[in-house]
Amino acid sequence: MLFNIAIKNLFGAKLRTSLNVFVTSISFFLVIFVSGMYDGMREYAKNITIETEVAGGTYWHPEYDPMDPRTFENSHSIIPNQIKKLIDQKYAFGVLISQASIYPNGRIMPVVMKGITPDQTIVNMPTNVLDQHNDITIPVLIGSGMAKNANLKVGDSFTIRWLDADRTYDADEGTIVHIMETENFKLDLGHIWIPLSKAQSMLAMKNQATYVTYAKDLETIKDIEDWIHHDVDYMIRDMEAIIKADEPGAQVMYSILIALAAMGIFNAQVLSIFRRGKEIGTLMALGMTRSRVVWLFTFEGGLNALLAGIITLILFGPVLFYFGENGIPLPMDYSEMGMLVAKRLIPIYSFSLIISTTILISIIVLVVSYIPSRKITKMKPTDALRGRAAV
Amino acid sequence: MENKNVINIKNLVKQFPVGGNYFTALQNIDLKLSEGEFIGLVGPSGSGKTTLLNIIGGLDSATEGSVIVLGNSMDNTSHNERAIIRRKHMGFIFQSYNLLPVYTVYENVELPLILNNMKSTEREKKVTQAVEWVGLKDKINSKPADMSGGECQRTAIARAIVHEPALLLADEPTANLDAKNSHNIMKILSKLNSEISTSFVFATHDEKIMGYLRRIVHLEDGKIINDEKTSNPKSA
Repeated sequence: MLFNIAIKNLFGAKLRTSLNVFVTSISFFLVIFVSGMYDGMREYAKNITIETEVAGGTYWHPEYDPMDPRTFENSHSIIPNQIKKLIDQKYAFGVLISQASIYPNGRIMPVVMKGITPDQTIVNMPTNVLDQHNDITIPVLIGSGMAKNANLKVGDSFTIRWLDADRTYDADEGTIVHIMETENFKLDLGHIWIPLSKAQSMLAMKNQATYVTYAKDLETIKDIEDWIHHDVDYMIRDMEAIIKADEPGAQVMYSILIALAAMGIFNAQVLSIFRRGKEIGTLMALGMTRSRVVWLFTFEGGLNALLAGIITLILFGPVLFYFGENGIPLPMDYSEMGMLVAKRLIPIYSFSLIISTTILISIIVLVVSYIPSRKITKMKPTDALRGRAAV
Repeated sequence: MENKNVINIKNLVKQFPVGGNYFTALQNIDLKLSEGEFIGLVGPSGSGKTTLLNIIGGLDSATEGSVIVLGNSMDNTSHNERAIIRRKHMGFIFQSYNLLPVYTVYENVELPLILNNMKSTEREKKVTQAVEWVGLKDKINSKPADMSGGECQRTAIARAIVHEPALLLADEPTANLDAKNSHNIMKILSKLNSEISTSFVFATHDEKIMGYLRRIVHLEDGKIINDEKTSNPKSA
């Protein structure tokens, strides 16, 4: 019985229902979209590190500590045989790291010089450009941030000075062959990338590397001598820790969004119910019990939330999908500030986000339908009939 | 054959709190109504006729005294019990119609039957019959906003009588209508009273409809000052 009446009320009052459903669906959309963007921003840093840097994991020379450049001098050795096999099968690539100085336009700049296998396809870096310039002494790949800081462009040459394995300083001319656009500032700022074989030759470290990065979904090798295996979880642990530390902040933001949505829904729903005081009085005069009136209006609220969910899917689903696929361009490049923030922010709509938002907003709609209708039904029917309901 | 009492009121007092005091709206009301009567509670504004009607209908409760309606003591019944009595045995007609604006004539008239959990086939039959009674067959799919005041009030009458209640309470049913529509409404109600056993109680101060009433109870300042049967009432 209540279902029939609720359906009639809902579809009979087209304008009122449209307004309530639209306000609720806007709330659905905004909460999912903004929370999705925030989640996307946090997940992005992790994903970009995996895509451009970590891949399936790494094997490190035991002396290597990326946070301490002083260790670079000693953190290299012949790559263990089992790891070398992976490299030969193109499932991994080696990187040899050294401190160096460059002299662009007569200035001195300390850099981290990294030799990398040019034909690798394991991480998302355009290293293949290093293999296309046999006429250049040292082909150099840099990031756009580095290019901007050092005022360098493709074709510019500068002196590179390094300390080789024999503890002898040497220098030669490097030429920029490509400037890459990367959103991982750790590959960009203060870095120059050269072919691995060139780096091994310059540093007198034939067949040596500082670390080896391997492709995703590979079994871990046990026989790696004294090298150390680090899986993806280890490599992104700092970011996971940051994300975890940021969770209370994310929850506060989500709560604020839900509260804002609740206020909008509350306004629309309460206003519409209190305007129906006379209708409630009439239903009571016709013999509907108080509890049935309350359930009728709460049920209408539930149907309202259901309709809002469907409308969100139809009206805002394509918008959410579009931004989920294409992202939203940000007005500035945050990587220059040392932040892993994408140039295009791509929202992530997790299943739990959609479900929790749907449940929370439905509960809000039910509560803001239940409370005012309960308040009106507690009035004397004679007052309700005169439309004396007041908030 | 002796008609049974539909309403039996003894020593009814109704007071409303106003500020720190009480305003007495009804005092020492004694009233009996038999089955099938067509009675008017008549008096000026503020005389207590609507209050008395609301108490009879269980929409309000008495401060003192005894009110027995259709064999139910309204003093000792809960809100829910009174709602059930109204749903099953009473019909209401309001001055401002109180139709649900989003419903059609059919849906408005159908509402009491839905509340009484009647099957849809039976509902359809009864709604059609009630709408025919009040002459609104051609407006059955119209909404209140598309109808005149007279048509709205006829819809309200159809809604009040569709479940064939034992008691029909009408609060100023012609106050918002012109003379022609007022007479039409009263003719319909008078005809219904003669065809079904429903008892009718009107609260009114509309002189136009006095002639249709078969018994007039005059109220003034919350007291019954006269209770008389009319000699030659108009009929449909």
